[in-house]
Amino acid sequence: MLSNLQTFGFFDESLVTAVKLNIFDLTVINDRLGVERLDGTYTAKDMEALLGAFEDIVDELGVTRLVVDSITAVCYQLPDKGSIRNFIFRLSQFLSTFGCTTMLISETVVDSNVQTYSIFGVEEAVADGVVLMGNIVRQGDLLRSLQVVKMRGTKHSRARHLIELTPVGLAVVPLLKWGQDGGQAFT
Amino acid sequence: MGTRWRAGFHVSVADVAKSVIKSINNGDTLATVGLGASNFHEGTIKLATVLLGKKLGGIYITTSRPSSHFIKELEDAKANLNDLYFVDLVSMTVGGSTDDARSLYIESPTMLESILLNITLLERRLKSKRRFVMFDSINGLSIYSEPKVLKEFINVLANSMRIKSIYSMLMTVKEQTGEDLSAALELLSDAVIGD
Repeated sequence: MLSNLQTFGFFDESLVTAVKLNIFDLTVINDRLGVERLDGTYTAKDMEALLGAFEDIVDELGVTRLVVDSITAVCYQLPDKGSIRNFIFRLSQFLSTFGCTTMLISETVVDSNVQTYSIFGVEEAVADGVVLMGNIVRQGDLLRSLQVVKMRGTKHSRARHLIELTPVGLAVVPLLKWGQDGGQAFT
Repeated sequence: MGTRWRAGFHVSVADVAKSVIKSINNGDTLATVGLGASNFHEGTIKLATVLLGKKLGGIYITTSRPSSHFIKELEDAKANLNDLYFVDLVSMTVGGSTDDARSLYIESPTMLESILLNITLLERRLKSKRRFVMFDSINGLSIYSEPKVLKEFINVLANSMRIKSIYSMLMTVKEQTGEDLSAALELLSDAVIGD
C-alpha cells in the first residue's frame, strides 16, 4: 500500500516517519488477538477484542482520523446483519467520544445499473455520511465519479461530481448533466 | 460590455487581434472569435502571439492539434512563452508526446469536465495579472460530443470563466459553425469578433 501511495505526487512520506500516518494490517491485529477462526466468523468475544484493539489504537496514538479499508472485509467475518449493525454502532460510539472521525470504506455492487451503498445494506444506515464513488461510461471512456448522498448536520451538494487524482491531490468538478450515456457502470 | 464586432465580410487576423484587445480593454470576459478555415490556424497563432506580447499570461486549450505543434509554431513566431500553459486534448488520444511541463494532457476529448478542472490547476501557475484562456476550438469538440452535451459544456465553461474573471476566447471555425451553435455562443458572449 505504501509503495502504491508513493506513486502519487501529493503523498508526503514524512507523515509516516513522523508517526502522523500509521498503517495497521487487520490480519496482523487478528493474529495478535488470536481471533482468526478457521470458519472465518467472529464470535461475540472476538468482536469485543477487535473493538478493544481499535479503541487502544485511537486512544494511545491520539488518532483524530481513522480509515477502515475495508469495513466490508470485517463485515464478512460477522455472522449476521444484527452483528454488523451492532459492531459499526459500537465502533462509532467510542470513536466519537475520542473526537475521531472515521471513514469506513465499503465495497458496493451494481444491480440493474443501480449502485448500492454497501454489500450488506447496514453501513449506510449507521453512518453519519455516505459518499458514493463509482465510474461513469461516456462514449466508451470511464470517468471517476463522487456523490455525497448524505452528510448529517450539514448542507451539501447532492449532485454527482467528476473526480481526478492530480499531482496536487483530488480535484472535483460538477458532472455535466447530459454527459452520461451508460449510467453507473462499475464499482 | 456587450459589444458586437461581427462583420458581414472577411476580417483580417490583424483586425481580429485589434478587436480582441479592444474587448479586453472594455472589460469583457467572454468573446466568441470566429475565423475562416483557410486562415484559422495562422490566426490563432497570431492572436496568441499578440496577447502574449501585451504581457498577458494565458492558457491555451487545444482540441485540433497536439500542444507540441503549437509550442513549436509559437516559438517560431518569437512569442514569449514564459506564462503560457496548455490543456491538450489531442496528444494522449493519438499517442503523442506527453512530457511537456507546460502542458496538462487529457486522456480523451469526451472528458469535458477535465478541461475545467485542468484550467483551474493551471490558473494557479499563471504569473501575469491579466490572463486569458484561448479555446481552440469549440468545433473540435463537436467531433466527439453530442450537440446537447457540447452546449451544456459551453454554458458551464463560459460561466466558470466569467466567475474567474479570466478573459476567454471561444474560437470557432466559420464554415463549421451552424446557426444553432452560433446563437448559443452569441447569447453567452460579451463580444462576437471576426467572421
